[in-house]
Amino acid sequence: MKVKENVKKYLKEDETKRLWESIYEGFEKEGRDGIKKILEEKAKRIQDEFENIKRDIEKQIGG
Amino acid sequence: MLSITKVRLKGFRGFVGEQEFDFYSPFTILFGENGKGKSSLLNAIEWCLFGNDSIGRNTGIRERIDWEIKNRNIKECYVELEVKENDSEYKIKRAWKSKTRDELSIIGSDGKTTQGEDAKRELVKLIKNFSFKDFLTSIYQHQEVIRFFLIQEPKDRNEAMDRLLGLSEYRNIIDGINKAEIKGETLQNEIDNILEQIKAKIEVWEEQIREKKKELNNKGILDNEINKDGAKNLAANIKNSLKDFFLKINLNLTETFLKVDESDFDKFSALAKHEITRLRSEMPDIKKQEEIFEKRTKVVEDLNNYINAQGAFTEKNKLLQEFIQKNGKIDELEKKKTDKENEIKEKENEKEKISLLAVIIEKSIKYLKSDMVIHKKTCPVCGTEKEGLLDQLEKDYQEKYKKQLEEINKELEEKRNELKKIEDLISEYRKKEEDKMKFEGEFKKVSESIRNTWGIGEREDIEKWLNNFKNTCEGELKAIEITVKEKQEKLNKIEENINNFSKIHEVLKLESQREKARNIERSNNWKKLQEKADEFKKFVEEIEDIISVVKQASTAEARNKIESVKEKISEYFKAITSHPMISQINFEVSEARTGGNSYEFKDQKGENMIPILSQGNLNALALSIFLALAESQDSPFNFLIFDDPSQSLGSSEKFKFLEVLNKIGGKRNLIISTMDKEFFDLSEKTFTKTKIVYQFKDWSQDKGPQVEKGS
Repeated sequence: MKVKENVKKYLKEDETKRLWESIYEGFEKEGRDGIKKILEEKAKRIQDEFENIKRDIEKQIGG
Repeated sequence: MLSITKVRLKGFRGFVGEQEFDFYSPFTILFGENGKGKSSLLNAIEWCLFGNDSIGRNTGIRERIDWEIKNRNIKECYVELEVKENDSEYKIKRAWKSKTRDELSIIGSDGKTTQGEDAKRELVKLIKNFSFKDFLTSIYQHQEVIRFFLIQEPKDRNEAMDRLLGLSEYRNIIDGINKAEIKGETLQNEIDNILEQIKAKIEVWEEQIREKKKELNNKGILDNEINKDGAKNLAANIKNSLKDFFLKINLNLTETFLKVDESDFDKFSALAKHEITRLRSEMPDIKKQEEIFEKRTKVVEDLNNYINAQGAFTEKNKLLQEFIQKNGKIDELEKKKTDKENEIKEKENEKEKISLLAVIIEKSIKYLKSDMVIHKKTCPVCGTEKEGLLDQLEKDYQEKYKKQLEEINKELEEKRNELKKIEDLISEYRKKEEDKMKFEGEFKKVSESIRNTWGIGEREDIEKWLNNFKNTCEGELKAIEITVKEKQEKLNKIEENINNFSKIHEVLKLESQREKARNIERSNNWKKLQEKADEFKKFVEEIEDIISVVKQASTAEARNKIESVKEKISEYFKAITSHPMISQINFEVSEARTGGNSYEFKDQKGENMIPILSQGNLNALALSIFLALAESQDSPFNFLIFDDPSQSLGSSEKFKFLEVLNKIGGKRNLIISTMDKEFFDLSEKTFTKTKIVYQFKDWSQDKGPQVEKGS
């Protein structure tokens, strides 16, 4: 069985499965760097959203 | 099953012109030193079958990163395999086009050519969907795997084992995930930091509120007035006070201020302050005060100018009068000068007369002394004869005329000196008179200007008039100062109220900020922030979950694969090494902490066998694992490739390994590449079936490998 399916069968959550698929896709495209890129992009998206809300809160509080 | 019968290649890595190699025999041996093109030929088979899957990072083979397919010195690059499956023959050709693109074509037995996507699909069918990684595990024994297996570091051996078992992909995926370095608590920590910062801010604001309230209390504002209503009341009070004030001084408040909403604290405060500033500059009393002050300044200035001009003129006049008193008037000086000049003239005439007489006597003496004169007693001027004439004349000349002339000259000098003194006095007089007139003119000019400025009559005393006016101004100033002071005090009071109002407003703003900060954890934004932190945490947990599952899947696959071939591994190991202490090899597989699997090799007693294995034994173990896996897999290929398999084998192990290969040869064609002369010589003796030998003699940049075919 291929690695992609082999790992997928062990994963329970659909979201985790989707993340795994994107990790594998990154790996197929650009190897280890591809995985790094995919994960960093996802992390950055959440972190950027977090930063935007944080800025709003800072404005809200003022000072 | 698919057999390779021929490889034709051009421009592939170390190869230059087209060369072809037969692989139809049970044994094909590629022999030659390193760097002569043996491995490139084997790589060409991989590339033709798997294209870009055999290149780059994804292969899990370090050497394949930045691997160059096309020889830099030649334009064309292709590899063509002639393969056979049952009765069908195919020509699979892959041509290099660019780093990312190649062109695949397949010619079937019927002569029909397929290209592009069709060719790819046909190839996948031919190799039964066998992947490059499967190929590495069960068809092509790479020399690097043996090399890593021989390294004493367990980490490298574990990696080599993963590679032998075709599990490098798992290991690489875990490496890739770890490379991203995504940490779980990052955002939650940031939330905790924000909370700490908010707490600190609240403390600062509370301190500021306390300070400001204290200041307000000191100004008579009670705590129960420091609120919105208190501020509104104060604003109304300020507005009314300003209205009253403006009314009293007959000025109007601006429309903007009159219309401003008192509850718009910022705007109200700014506009009220502006009204105060305007008042201070436009208030009539203040304007009048400024006008009088200006007049007073001017009159004082004029008074000073007048006194100075007058003083200067008086001084010069005084000097002139003193001079006259001492030396007389100018007419008297002029008369003295004329008298002196006449005296000098008279004296000069007298001198002239005596001089002429003296000349006559001098000449007469000279005449009488001359040898030409005989009558020395006769006077050459009057003809009178006189005894001792010459002596008499000489005596007269010395005593009378010469002395007289000397006296006259002395007198003349004295008179000239006296004349010079008189002339100097006249000149001094003129200078003093000029000065007096100059300053007199200045004084008149200043007086005229002051009279014109202030309208002072010709008969009026300027100084007195100016002094009177100055006193009047000062009196008025004193009177208006009291009125202005009273009004300024009123304005100060209003201004103080505005400042108190602003301060109350500041307290309210700080209190509002503090409340917002206190309630921030209940706000929607905070909820969203927490959600993002949770999302990130979940994301990290998912990554950790995936890492764990990848490790789990890799370990499970490793265990399954080993379990299915462990007997075969033991069998091959015993056949190659005849190790006296090892009759059975057992494997224990566990998840390695850093990714990939960790392997322990145990003997029949369950003891770690690595410490008692030689390098040759380790080499044999790697070969045994490969052979066992190759045998177990359902492979579409009827051949096996060995690249430098005898790296550390002893002579006896080499022979035994060749015997093992001899048994396999025939069932499957074996392609063996070696640089080991002993191994090569032994293979000549050991292999009992047909073989083709390619000796890689040399390699040059322009010709590529120079190969000799034998059998």
